[in-house]
Amino acid sequence: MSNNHLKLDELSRRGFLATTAKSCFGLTIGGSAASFFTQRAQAEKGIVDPAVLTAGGGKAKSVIYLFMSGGLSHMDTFDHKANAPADIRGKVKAINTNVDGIQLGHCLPQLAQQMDKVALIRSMNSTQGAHAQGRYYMRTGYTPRSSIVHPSSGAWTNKLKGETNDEIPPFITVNCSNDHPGAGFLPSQFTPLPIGNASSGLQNSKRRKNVGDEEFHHQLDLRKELDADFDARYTKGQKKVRAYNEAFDAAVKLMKSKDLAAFDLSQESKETHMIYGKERFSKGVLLARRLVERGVRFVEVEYSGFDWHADNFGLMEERIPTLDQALTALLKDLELKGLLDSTLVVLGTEFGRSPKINSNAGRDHYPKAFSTLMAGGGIKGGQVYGSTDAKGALVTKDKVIAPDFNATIAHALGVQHDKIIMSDSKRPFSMSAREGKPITKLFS
Amino acid sequence: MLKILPPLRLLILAAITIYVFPALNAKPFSQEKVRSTSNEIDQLLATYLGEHQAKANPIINDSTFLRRSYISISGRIPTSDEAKSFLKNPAKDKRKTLVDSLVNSPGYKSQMFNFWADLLRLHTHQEKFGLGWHNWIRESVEHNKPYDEFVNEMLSAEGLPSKNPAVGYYLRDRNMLLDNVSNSAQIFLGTQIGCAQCHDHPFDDLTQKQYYEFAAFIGDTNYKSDAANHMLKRMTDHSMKKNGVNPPNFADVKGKKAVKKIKEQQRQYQKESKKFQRDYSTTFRYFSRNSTSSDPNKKLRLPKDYKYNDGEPGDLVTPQTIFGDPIKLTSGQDSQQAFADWITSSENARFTKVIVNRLWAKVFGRGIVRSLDDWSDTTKISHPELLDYLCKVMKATDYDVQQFMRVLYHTRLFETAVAMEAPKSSGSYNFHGPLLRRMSAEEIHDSLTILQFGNIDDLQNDSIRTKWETYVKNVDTLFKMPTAQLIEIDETVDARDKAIYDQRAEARRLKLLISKAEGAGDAQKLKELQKQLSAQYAANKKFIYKKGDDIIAMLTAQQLRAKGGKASLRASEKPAPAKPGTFLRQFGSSDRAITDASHTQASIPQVLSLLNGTSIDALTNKKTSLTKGLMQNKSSSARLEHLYLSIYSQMPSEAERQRYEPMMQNPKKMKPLIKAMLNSKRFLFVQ
Repeated sequence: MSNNHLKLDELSRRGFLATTAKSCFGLTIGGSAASFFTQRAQAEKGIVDPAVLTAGGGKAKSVIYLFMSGGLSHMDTFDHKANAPADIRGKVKAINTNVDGIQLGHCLPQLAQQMDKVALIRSMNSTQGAHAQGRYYMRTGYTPRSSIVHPSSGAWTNKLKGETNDEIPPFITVNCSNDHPGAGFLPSQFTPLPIGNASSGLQNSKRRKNVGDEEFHHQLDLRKELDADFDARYTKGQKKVRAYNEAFDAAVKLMKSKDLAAFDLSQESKETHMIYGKERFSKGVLLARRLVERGVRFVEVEYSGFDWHADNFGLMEERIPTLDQALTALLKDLELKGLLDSTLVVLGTEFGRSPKINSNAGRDHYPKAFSTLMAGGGIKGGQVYGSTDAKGALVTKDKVIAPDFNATIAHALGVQHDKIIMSDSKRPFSMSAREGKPITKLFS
Repeated sequence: MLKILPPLRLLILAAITIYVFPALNAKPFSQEKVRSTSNEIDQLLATYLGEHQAKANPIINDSTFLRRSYISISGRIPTSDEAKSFLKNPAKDKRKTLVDSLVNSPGYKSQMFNFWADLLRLHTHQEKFGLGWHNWIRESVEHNKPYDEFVNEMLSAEGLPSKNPAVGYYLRDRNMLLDNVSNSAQIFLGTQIGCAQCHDHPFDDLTQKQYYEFAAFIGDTNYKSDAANHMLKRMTDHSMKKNGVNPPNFADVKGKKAVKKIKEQQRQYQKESKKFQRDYSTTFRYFSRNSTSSDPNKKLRLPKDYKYNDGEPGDLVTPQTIFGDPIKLTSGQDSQQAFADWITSSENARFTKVIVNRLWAKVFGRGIVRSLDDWSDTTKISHPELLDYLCKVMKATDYDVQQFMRVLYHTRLFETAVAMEAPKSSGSYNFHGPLLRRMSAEEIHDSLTILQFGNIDDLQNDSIRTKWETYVKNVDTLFKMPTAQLIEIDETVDARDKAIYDQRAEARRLKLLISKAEGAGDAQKLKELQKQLSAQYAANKKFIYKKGDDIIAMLTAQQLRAKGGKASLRASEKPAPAKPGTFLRQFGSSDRAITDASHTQASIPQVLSLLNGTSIDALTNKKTSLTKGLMQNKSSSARLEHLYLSIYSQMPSEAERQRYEPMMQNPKKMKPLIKAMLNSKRFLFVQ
């Protein structure tokens, strides 16, 4: 790690960005400052390590991370134990997939036909058995501390890969819960832009219905007029003041920008909507594809409601088909658009569910063993990595922890997972939490 | 530590802690004393400026002073009436009078509450203790509790929050004791020791071992309630007795066979006892974890991966301070109390320096030491005499923050124009003027709120207090309950937990259907489902808050929640932190994840919200205090004055009158002007 780089990073870039309009909204919403960064961005983008390329990494340009919040049951989806006793197996049937020897739970029939694109990881392991802590660990690779917030993988990715040249923020979260760690200690330019409801797009980005175009511009002109003296006094010496001027210009520009269309799902055909599905989550996945298509680097879509302590199998029949449909649609759609090789699709969750079914026909939190998957972005499909025992209770081969998982995302993008970044409190951190190793076997 | 107290004594104790804490602070400074003290501060600043061939900025005009004072001291802009009455007042000393009245206003308390809550990372609805801690901080501000006592009470707190809500400070970081120690050092001693949690500090002299020694003062902390444990034992014994299982009697047991037999009996007894314990422990599961206790058997040890020469992994650690005077603990001395006393001692220079520097930064926009919580031995101090003097003042007030702030607001510096250029982030600053700053998120929120509703400073969210008081009463009731009744409750709690669970599942199911209907664009079905869902919520509410069931609710997983509060309440009266995406959060209100995390940076979502969001637009409808005030005036000229006083706390200039009076004829014409004013930096910034 070169100190020089750090210094530059901390003082010039960060110092400038912290008080400029580019911060907080990803970075480059058009505007004059965009070119300001391009050079540095290019330099920082760097060249992918040849060793990473040989190991199959570095092909992905974007990531779509689907986060199953509440703790997805591995037992009933990706690691079904068809031969386990009934009090473990539950009301699930195994179905075959288009890859010999790989079976899934019966609620994933469409995905089963895409299994050749997917690498399952059946050997996830965590020590965090509570929701908030589990989510935090999976998203950041670190266990929660009350003295610091660690960056999530989306923020790491953008920090390590350098800026995109697009006019949309490079990290967007859709439907994500309030406790998403976002940029953590990284500068606010890495903060994700949160979209609440995919169907209604970017909040406040349209002129109010009761305000006409002329009135809107009249208001803008008046604001400048009222601030004339203030600007004359302070613009020169105060970055904070300039930042507001830039933010207003950029916001108005954004309101008229073609790129706003990226957030507008109504521009997708009715058929496409049908293919992805009708639910909120499905719309989020569709939005993710639209955004990735326009160069957004990292989109995280949360699907919540997997905390099935009771009525596990009833809820499964309700919730899993939505995932099945949306994920399948996404993989097919990306392939059709020629984006699958450059888009890493990741499915994560905070922990698995207990193999033993409880007295309420539910399953409880189970961090010791669970499943995730990856597809596209250089991943070799049709494989299973790691395994659990006959009850799905213990990892028996190739244990994967959150830091490995994040290191693998880094590997796919060709960024240095173990690059040390110092926090403001001068503590060293890395995307792989200084212990993770990428699972290179997943790559072709 | 909490000894098991009989219920009655406990009740009395609780009553004492709640009702008898108004502080015994030193008398407020006399006018004369305030004047001489603030003069002394200005002298020290002037000397520094003189030495550096620099000049103080000129004194600001009345309207700038008026606006700055209201925002800084009471956390909001003045109303048009307040502005008018100050500007028209011919008294010579009206600025001093204004400052004194604002320091004693409810607004002062509101903004100080925000300050502490951000520093301490308050979450109002954190399990059962958050509400109590919120209430405790609020009351401490209300009674202007001296700072050293305020901190000492938190650092020495132990036991149930119902008895001592200040324990929220420790429960905030449950199971993260080492982090909690880092936070204490950072917040109260301005020292970042976090690095040393895992390895020797790379820049300072602090070693990992010293870190552990410092943490060892509170290394015996357990996050569970002794009192609850005692009740559990009572219940178990009761049921054993009732079932005729008696403890084996070892007296008069002789002979190998007899001993063997009785040992077997004892095993049986313990097995039986465990069964009951397991069953009953669910009753106190959530109650117990909302408490701390000291466990004499729990001691801090060096970590498993300890790699330095001055100790072995797993070595016991003896409590030691990280700097300053060492402490010798005598046997039987409470180490946690010693820890609290050491940190908050007036002999501990860093403790006082850090708080005066923080408060200075709060008033003038920048600390004398810039980095408020990262002091070290090598920290360069631009104004050492000034800092020492401020420490003296703080001690002379007996750590009365209100008096200390009053002195700062009386300085000439507070009447001086802001620096035209922002000082460099590194290096020292000569304080030729305060710093230009954007209003905090709470200040903007509260200013918009008074434009909408008029002066609402006196409105409180009573439910924060009442809900907590009810909870405390219920805890007392619980402790007084006969054992048999406790056992009955256990059954109900188990059933209720399950019922709450089922209801949540049902709500979840409905939400899913709603989402499906939404996606399908089936408006009629959507309406029907939403109706069902709100009926479900209403039923839940009735069920969960069934009268007389408070004790049950207290024992379930449910958070202890206050009402969200009306729109007309100030930010300080709302449960915190505000949700992401809300106006407050967009403008930089803290998420309360780490200390002192609020910010005032510009962002595009923020501007979009100013331009197209509801907060600004709503102020122009005819029901707001602002619009009503405007329309009461008949002439355009009077209306413009009212508008200027309301938003900018000043009268319009001649040029502004000419330009804007024609826009004041009717509400439709006024609207773009009003919105533009609220979008302007003149409004958003404090000069």
